[in-house]
Amino acid sequence: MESGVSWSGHERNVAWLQSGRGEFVDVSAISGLDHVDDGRVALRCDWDGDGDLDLWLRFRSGPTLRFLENQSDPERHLAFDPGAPGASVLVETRLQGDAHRTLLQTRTADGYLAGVRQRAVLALRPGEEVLEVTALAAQGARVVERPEPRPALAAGELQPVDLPARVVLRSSLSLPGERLRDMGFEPGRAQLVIVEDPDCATCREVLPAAVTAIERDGRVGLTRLNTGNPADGSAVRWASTTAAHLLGPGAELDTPLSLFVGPAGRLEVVHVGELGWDELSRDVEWFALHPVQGALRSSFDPPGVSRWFHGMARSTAQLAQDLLEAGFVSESAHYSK
Amino acid sequence: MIARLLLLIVASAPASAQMPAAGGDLPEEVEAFVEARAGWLESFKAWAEGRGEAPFRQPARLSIPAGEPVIGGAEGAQLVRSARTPVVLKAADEAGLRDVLLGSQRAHGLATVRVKVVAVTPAGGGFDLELRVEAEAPGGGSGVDPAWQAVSTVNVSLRQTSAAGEEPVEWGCVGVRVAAWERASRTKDLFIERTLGVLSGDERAAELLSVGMDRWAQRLDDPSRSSWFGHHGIAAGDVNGDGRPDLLVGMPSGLPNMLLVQQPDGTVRDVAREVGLAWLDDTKGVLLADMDGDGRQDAVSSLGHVLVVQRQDERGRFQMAGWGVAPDEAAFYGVSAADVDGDGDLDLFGARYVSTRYGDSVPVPFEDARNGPSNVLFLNDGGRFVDATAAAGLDAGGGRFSLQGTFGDFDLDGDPDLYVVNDFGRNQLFVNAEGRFVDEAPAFGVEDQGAGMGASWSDFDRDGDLDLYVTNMFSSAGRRVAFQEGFAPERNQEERAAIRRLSLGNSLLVREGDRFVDRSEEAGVRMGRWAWGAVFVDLNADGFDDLISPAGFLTGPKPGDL
Repeated sequence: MESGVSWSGHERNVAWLQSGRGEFVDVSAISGLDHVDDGRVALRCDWDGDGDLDLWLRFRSGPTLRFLENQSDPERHLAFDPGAPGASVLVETRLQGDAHRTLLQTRTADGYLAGVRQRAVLALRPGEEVLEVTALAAQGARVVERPEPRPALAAGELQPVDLPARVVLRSSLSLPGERLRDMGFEPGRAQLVIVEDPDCATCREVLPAAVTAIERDGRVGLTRLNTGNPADGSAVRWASTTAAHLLGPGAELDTPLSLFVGPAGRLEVVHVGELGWDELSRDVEWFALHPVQGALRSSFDPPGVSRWFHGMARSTAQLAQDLLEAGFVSESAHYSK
Repeated sequence: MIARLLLLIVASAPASAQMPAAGGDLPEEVEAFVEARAGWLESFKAWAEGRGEAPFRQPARLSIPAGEPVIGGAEGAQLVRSARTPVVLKAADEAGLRDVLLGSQRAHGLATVRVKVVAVTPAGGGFDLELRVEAEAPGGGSGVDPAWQAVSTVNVSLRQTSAAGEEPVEWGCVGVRVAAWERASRTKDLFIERTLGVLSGDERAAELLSVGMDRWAQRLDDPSRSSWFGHHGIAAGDVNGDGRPDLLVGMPSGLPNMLLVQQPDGTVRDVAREVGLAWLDDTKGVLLADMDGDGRQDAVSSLGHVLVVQRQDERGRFQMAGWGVAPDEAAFYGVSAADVDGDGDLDLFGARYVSTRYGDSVPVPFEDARNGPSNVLFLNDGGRFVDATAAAGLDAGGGRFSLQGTFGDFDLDGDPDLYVVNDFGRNQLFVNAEGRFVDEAPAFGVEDQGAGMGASWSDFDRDGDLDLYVTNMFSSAGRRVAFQEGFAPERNQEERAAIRRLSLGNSLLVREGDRFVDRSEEAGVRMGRWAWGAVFVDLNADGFDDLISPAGFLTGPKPGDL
């Protein structure tokens, strides 16, 4: 699969409309719900409060989230909102002589990986009359007239962007001391290693501002490596091999590639692509000024920053092998001890 | 892939057992035959689209359903289908056949057509193929020229033919029979995608959600590589009490979960960092529910093998309130909450699928596995979540590779019952009797021994009781392989039937009296492709629930599919 071929891929979502007699007709294409992405989750929800059910859909392939606004807008709907899951209400209605007994029930989850709002909605057709709401748990059941429409939001799907990435490692990685010394690492001081490329537009256009901010701040040492500089060749290959191991097979190591090393000589954060001072300064706060807090990734520190719940022991056996194959014998030995 | 798995089952049998049964063929031969017919299928598709000659040998027998089509009504759409029972056919010419395939549109040449082989049967020295033919056209956006689509079940007879006195050499189509067709046209838009507009107020959230897992997998520290399969949940709830629903979004390992709070104009703003919900761990099931009964929505997140419960305080911050830890490190997938013991607070049920790493667990036996990790029920004891799985009877039947448990009071006795969906075999319906559960799926007819992914409860037929729609895998390749007479001859009939069921598709289980009856075929909702979280939802606000079935497993950037 990592080679890029599909496994039951390119399959479209399926949608059916009920004719009202327990039979359904495929409307996938005409409903616009037949996305060819790898669908996972469908969540129904009256998002805009107009009485029809909108959809949030979740996908494996991008974009991973879609909002589909239902265009039905019934004149009236019955909202059953007991505020708790597991409540039931039996609704009796009549339309043109046909009687219906409809059971509405609230719950917390439905389908797969979909946490639903504990509110049930029944659209009422023009002329449909509510005869009785039976009290299995009838509190909260009320008929709602169509609300004033609000201005429409822009239509369209999310467009994929070229992603810069700030990857906070789940558990920090000890780096070989000899390699750090060669790159000017001062023990007890955080260091940023930046790999640049002469053809990299981002390196030319964005890096100077970040580098200026780093130098002005003064709390972080800086090592700049360039793929076009033969003298940097070994360090560039070492940094790339290490980052590729961390970020997965086939990782696209865009430049600039930046490794944030804490005062203890442990790799804490990898930046791929654009490097912003705002996020970098957060790394400084966490891993340089407050290294104890930074080390406690699995702790329940105060809300306000993203954090890991689980730490995870990192196996470095494969990294040792990768480094050995790349010719970094002593660095490999660092992980083989 | 199901075909590959099924072929492996055949290949693992003793060589003597792989000889074709009388009148049957080996699955490998059938698959090779289908692959060799790719050119003919392309010609058939081109003809249906009005781009080529009819690929039929003359004189071919062509037939279509007789009788008056059934015209259905639904808000926003016109629905028409052929009479289903009894199926009576009549002869047709090429133009008439094509007309039916295009939904009686007489709009030849305007449609896009897709053709899939869903069954192969050796017959009369050749093969009969069952095709699913889908045709669609976008229309001109008006009532005069509406968007439409048509789906047909078509049986094609392929035979070898030859000149007089010579060995048969060429395959040709000698008969086409349309067994059923249906057509839908849209009189107005049913949905408009507005993701761009909703997320227009939060550029960072939009960026993180715009890219799929193939790209993220190369950018994230994910030692277990579990995120790549894309099982990340969402939950809706009104977290700030402003009457508007908000959305909690589970994210892959290394990306912060989001809480998208709806603003008065309908846009959203991610506040997860401010309120303490932005965990970086791979997050599968999530919930928003009032776990402590204080009237505010709290949050539950499946973070690996821990269900983390965060109570919303009076300032809108989500504080650690408790957690439920599984007995081993197999991750939770779907999570659901209900007051199972009637003490007034919500308890938690977490479904677990594979042990530690996706791919390391091997279900045994494949069609009725019991060697998966255990599911867990946590009773809420004043904010402490206590493992009560065994005491409640929910450990019955072993670990079945479960993906989701869904509560529903189907017997209307006031307490929540639980339907658990399992990927490699029988599902379970746990009936609640004062906090003690007994699996009564066989008695109620809802074991549905497919490759289950999710389930949805609804009174879809508005007769006052709950029905059930179960999401299962559908695989046309699996159907072609497993239904050959030569398939897995070393297995007994019951085992073969169970394996065949794994690729059949979704199930509509309708409550009729004291049982549920599988009405998937009559209702026309079996084929949901490789489906995951199908749900009942009233798509056109006509008061009757419809269905949507998200589908597709792993789409790679390169051509080709396993």
